[in-house]
Amino acid sequence: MSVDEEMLRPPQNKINPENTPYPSKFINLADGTKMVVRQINRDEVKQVIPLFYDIVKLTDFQYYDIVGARILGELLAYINYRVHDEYVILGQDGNTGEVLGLVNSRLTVNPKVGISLHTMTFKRGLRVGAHLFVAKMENHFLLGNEEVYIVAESPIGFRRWMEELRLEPRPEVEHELGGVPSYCLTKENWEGYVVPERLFGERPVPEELLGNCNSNILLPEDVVFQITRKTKEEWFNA
Amino acid sequence: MRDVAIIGVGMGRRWGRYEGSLIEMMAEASLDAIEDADTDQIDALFVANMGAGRINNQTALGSALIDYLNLFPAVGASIENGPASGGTAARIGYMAIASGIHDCVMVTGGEKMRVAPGPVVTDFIATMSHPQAEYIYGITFPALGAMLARIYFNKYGVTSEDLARIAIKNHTNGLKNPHAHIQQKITMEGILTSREAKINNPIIADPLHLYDMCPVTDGAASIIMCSMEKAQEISEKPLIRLAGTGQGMDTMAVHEREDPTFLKAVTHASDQAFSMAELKRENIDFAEVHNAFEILELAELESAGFFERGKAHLAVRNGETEIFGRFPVNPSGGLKARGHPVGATGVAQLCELVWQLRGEAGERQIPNNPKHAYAVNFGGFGNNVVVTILSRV
Repeated sequence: MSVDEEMLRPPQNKINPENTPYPSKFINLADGTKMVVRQINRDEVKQVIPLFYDIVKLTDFQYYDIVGARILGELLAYINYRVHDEYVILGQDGNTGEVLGLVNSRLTVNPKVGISLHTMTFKRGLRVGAHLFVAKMENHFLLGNEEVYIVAESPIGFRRWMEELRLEPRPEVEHELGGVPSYCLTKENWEGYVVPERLFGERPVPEELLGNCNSNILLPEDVVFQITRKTKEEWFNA
Repeated sequence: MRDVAIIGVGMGRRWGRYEGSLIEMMAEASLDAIEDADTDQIDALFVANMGAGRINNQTALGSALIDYLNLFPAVGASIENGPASGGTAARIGYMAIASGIHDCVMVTGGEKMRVAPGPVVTDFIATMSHPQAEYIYGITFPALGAMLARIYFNKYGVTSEDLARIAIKNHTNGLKNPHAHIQQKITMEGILTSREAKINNPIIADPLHLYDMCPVTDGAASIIMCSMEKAQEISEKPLIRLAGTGQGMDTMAVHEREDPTFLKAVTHASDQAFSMAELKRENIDFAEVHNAFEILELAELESAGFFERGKAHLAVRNGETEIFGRFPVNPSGGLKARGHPVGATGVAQLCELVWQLRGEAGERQIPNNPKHAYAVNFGGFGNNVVVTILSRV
């Protein structure tokens, strides 16, 4: 690594210095899919990034453009070592490796406080986002965070996180995604409500399912169609 | 009274979320029906709709659709009868032709609901309840469905698993229906027996879960009816006769009914329709029933006389109501999977009956050449019900 590069990189991750990945699990979805939930590394993140070049063009569709653009920036920052202690978790169909959703987060505002970045579902209607969001919260608390700051950029997000998880308002906190109202998932709420009521998944993941996902990050053939039910051609022509 | 035939049906594009206007959506379905009937010589148009005045800020839909489609000199009007608007409009269309006032009538139902937030839609639907005895106390239709289910569970031994079986059957049918809003496979493990089912299929109104309820849908459907005499002249498709129609009423407030599990209005409407069609229950080959909540699929089948009271869930357990079962129910996916744009539902049920009777239902076609079919369109929480029986000539 050059000196120029070294001076640009973030400091070492303080609460997960060994970069221990989130322990993979699998979740039964409504349609019978076994969704494998696992943390992905930088090389794997590079494979997912192309999805977002289409997603950022979904203007006026449930905030996919703004969330997509921000995730794209965060993933590029991650693979280029320009963001501190970010992690990315993927939900994949355990039989095919198809990518169903993605979440990302950062571990430290300070060692006790994590900061949630984004959640995006590519296959809708199966509560993929609800499961993945709770999985990334699980990683925060597994690694020692005592609170996580969260904001929402869409009404769907607000209902899923702020309302369903009964988050505490923290209007005094300036979340790094901007000055929109911040909320907080506390350890007390996590242990008292979210873990017993909203946290699901089984470990270990059967070797076959994990193998399918590790060896094959299958991108949706047409992510625009997956999200909007219109083909890429129809959507962009419209 | 003249015999009446349905000569054209159409539903436009796949239901779900429609980006254009309500009138554009209804026009697409109407044009499909015109193409199917191969005639645009329409004398009258009845538009079935429940909530455009409130949700879409538009009224006088009959005038608007005639103008949009340039159907002049046809005359038209809007028909509002809650979720039974579609069946009611078809019944009025039938009367207009049978009485000789009109020769050819189009009935188009449509509702564009997804522009409104969930709480607004729930409230708009709740306005059908009794204003003084129910609505002001905060009743919603999911709550009414839940109370009916609770009574059914206690009285007849119906279980959440039975309701999930119905949902799985309807989702399976919806996967084969290109017009269905919900085209998604579901499994018992995924929605009920796994731990994750608590998130995948949460309780909405105890004991009803998310998958026990219909979605909020934009959609339109259209049929064209004419005198049988005219149909024989102009139609090259199998002739479908509107053999029977009936309408039944019950108290607005559900608690005033002697037995809430007995849907008196369904029985009365069915009896009238069967009497008019000169058919018996066992002559019917399949049914489309108004399952806004899956518990209603059971209650309506029993109150219509297809199954003994408290026994329909046993038929579901045996697979009798599946497409290849003894008595297929909701081959379209019903309100659960096709969707429930309230004003359009009754008309869409008749579209499905026609497609099935003609043998044009594709992958979801009921076998053995069905000849007689039944539809129940359920208004309010069973206070105003329309039944239609169609027969292939």
